[in-house]
Amino acid sequence: MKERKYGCINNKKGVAGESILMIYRLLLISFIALVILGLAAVFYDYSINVRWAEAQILGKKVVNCLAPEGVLDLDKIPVSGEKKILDYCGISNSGRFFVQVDIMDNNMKSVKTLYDGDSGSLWVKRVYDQGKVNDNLKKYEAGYFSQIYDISTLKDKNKIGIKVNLKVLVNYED
Amino acid sequence: MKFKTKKASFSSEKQVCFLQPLLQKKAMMLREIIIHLILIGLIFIMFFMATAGRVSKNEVRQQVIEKQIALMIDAAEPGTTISMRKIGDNGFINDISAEAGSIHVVINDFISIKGYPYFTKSSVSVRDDVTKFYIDVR
Repeated sequence: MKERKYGCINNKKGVAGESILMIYRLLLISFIALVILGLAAVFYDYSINVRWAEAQILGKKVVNCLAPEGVLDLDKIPVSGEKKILDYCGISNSGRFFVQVDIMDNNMKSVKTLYDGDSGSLWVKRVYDQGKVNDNLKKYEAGYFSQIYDISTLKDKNKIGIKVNLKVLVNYED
Repeated sequence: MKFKTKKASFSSEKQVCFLQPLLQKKAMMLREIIIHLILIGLIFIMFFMATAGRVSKNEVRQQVIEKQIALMIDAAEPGTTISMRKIGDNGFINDISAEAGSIHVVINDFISIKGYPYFTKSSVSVRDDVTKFYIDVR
């Protein structure tokens, strides 16, 4: 049989077109599958909030650091430590925490304030407390702990009673 | 009057040339359909596996254990050892690791991606034996 080089029409352009259509169809199916997977991920998402417990634990660690055995020595805290109180206590702050320690005399007048973190977190907490937050955002609410402690401080080697108002905020973990 | 008619003769060469496009086209279509079905099947298998992982309870179990361990580490005094049974009510714990300030727990072969962070200033290490994991806070 005589072989013909171009005997029968071989539709090469048609085959290339089919390949492009196939890629398009695969991309479309992948997109639909991803959308359904995303919806399933949102619907079945379940988050357990333990930030309030973390805030309590962190608060107690800070107080034990600042006032071991209930005595606070302000002279031991360097000036750099007043704004980085967690660093002073050896606790790493990845940006999730805000700690504020108000040292007050017995008349509740503030003597000194030590803090670490972004104080804007307190403002966000107030917005949540006012109930102005959508249900979908409630799972991001920060854990909060606040307590006033009666401790002592040293002045001229004498113990004087003071109050420490501690506020701890633990933000949502990324 | 005689009309000379040319007999139509189909030689084998012409027959092959006539039928070949049809046969080739059918084979090509079938091949493409099979490839399409295989690829679509693969995509849906991956999609169902990912969804099944999401819907299963292992993610919740993993969250519970990671957060429990992180809170215990945060509250623990230096010199404390926390032990966790490998086989428990939540299933089989394949691995517990403390990396970059986070606790990761692999439970029922469900891998931990995010983990849960802890903030203790003590160093944390994990070891295990046949039945338990031991988390040392030093």
